[in-house]
Amino acid sequence: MSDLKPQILALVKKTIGEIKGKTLESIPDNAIFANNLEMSNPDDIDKLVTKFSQFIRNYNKDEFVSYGDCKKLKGVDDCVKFLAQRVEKIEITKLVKEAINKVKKIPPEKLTDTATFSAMELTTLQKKALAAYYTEIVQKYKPNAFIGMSESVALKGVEDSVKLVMERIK
Amino acid sequence: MKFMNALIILFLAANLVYSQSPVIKVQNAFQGNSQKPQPATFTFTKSIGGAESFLIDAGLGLNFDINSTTSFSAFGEYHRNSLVSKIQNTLLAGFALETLINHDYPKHDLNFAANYNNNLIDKTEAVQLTGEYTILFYDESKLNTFYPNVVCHIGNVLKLEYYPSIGFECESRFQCKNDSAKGNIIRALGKCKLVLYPDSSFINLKLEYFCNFEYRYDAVNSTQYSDFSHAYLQTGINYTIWKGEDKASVKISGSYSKGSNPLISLKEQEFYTISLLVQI
Repeated sequence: MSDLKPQILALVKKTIGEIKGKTLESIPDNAIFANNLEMSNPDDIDKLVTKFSQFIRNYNKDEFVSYGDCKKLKGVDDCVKFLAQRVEKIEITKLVKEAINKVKKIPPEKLTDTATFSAMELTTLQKKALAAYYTEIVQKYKPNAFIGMSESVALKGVEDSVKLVMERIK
Repeated sequence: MKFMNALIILFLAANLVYSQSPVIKVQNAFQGNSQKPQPATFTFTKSIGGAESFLIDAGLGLNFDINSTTSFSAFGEYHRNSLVSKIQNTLLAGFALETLINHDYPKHDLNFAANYNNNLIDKTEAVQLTGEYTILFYDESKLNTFYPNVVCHIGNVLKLEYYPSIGFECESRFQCKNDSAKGNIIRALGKCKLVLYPDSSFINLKLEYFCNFEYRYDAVNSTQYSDFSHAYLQTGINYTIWKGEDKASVKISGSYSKGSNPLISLKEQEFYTISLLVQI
C-alpha cells in the first residue's frame, strides 16, 4: 500500500490546490486546513467528496466517500491516510472474497461485503481451511504474521474477516 | 484434588508453550475429530430423602494457534452419568493437537490427543493416546455431490452433513483395582456423525435428525478382558427453540444411545435421554 501513497498525496494536494486556488508547490505535505486552508465551507467539502469519491471508484465502483468522512479530515496527511486506508480495505475485501472462493465455489462478484458464513453454508473444517488463505493475504504485508484456525472458526463472514486481516497487518 | 492439580499444571504449561491469547472452549469432548462438537450437558437432581443423581458430559479447553494450519489445546473433561444402569464417572485431562495438511485439495485433517484418564467407578487410571483422520474436498456446491465435512444438498428439500473419521486409540492402564485389568490396549477406530435437516428455503422447520456411530476394535489387548468389539450408537432429534447470531442456540434434544465407549469408560448399555442443549 505504501507505493500508492505518493499518488494519493499528489491527488490530495491537487484537489486542495484547485479548491483554494493555490499551486501544488505552495501546499506542504503536512499542511493543516486550519492554517490558511480553511475547509469549513460546505461547497469546499462537497468538492473534496466529489474528487475523493472519483478516486475511490477506480478501485470499487460501488464505493464512495461521504460528506461526514470529509468533514472530519484535518489536513493533507489526514486525507492521505484516510484514502490509503479506504483503498487498502477495498483491496483486502477483494482478496478475502477470493480466499472464500478457494474453499467454496462462490465467485467473488456474487459475494456482498456483508455476506455471512452461515448463509454460505461453511462448515467448521472449511472455516479452518480459510485460515491458510487469509494468512497468504496477511503475509503479503507482514511476512511473519498469520491467522490461526481457532481465529478463522470464530469469524462470522466477510466483514469481520476483513477487519481481522487489517488488524493483523497493522 | 490430584486431578485438579494436574489440570492446573496442564493449563499453565499450555500457556508457557505458546503465548498467543488462547480461546476458551466449553463442549462435550476434545479428543478426536471436533468438526461438529456437541454442547456440554449438565443435570443434577436431588430427591428429598434420596440420593442425588448427575448427568455431566462436559469439557473445558484452552486452544492456541501455533500457525495457520496447526492448533494446540489443553483440556479437562468430566463425564458422569448416574441416571443409567451402569454408572459412569470419569475424569480426563490432557493435550490435543490438530493439523490441516496439504495446501491444495483434498486437505487432510489430523487430530492427536494424549491424556490421563481416571475411571472413578472401576478405580482405574490410564494414559491414552488417540489419533484421528478426516478429509476435506473442494466444495463446488453441486446438487447431489455428497462430500464429507461440507453441507450437501439433497434436491432442494433436505441438507445433509456427515463427518466421518478413522483412527486409533492406545491405552495403558497402569493403576487398577485388580491386576487383571492392568495392561495395554490398542484399538482401531471408525466414526461417522450424520446430520439431516430441511432446507430452510423450502420449509422453515427447525428440526434436525442426527446419528453418531462409533466402532472400536481391540487389535491388541494385554488385559484379562476379552470384549474386543465396541460399538456405540447415538441417534435422535434436535428441535431448535431459539437461534441467535452465528452458533448460539437453545435446542430440545431427544436421543437413544446404545453400546459402549471405552475411551470415556461408558459401559455397554442402552438408554433414552431428553435434554435441553444450550450452545453459546
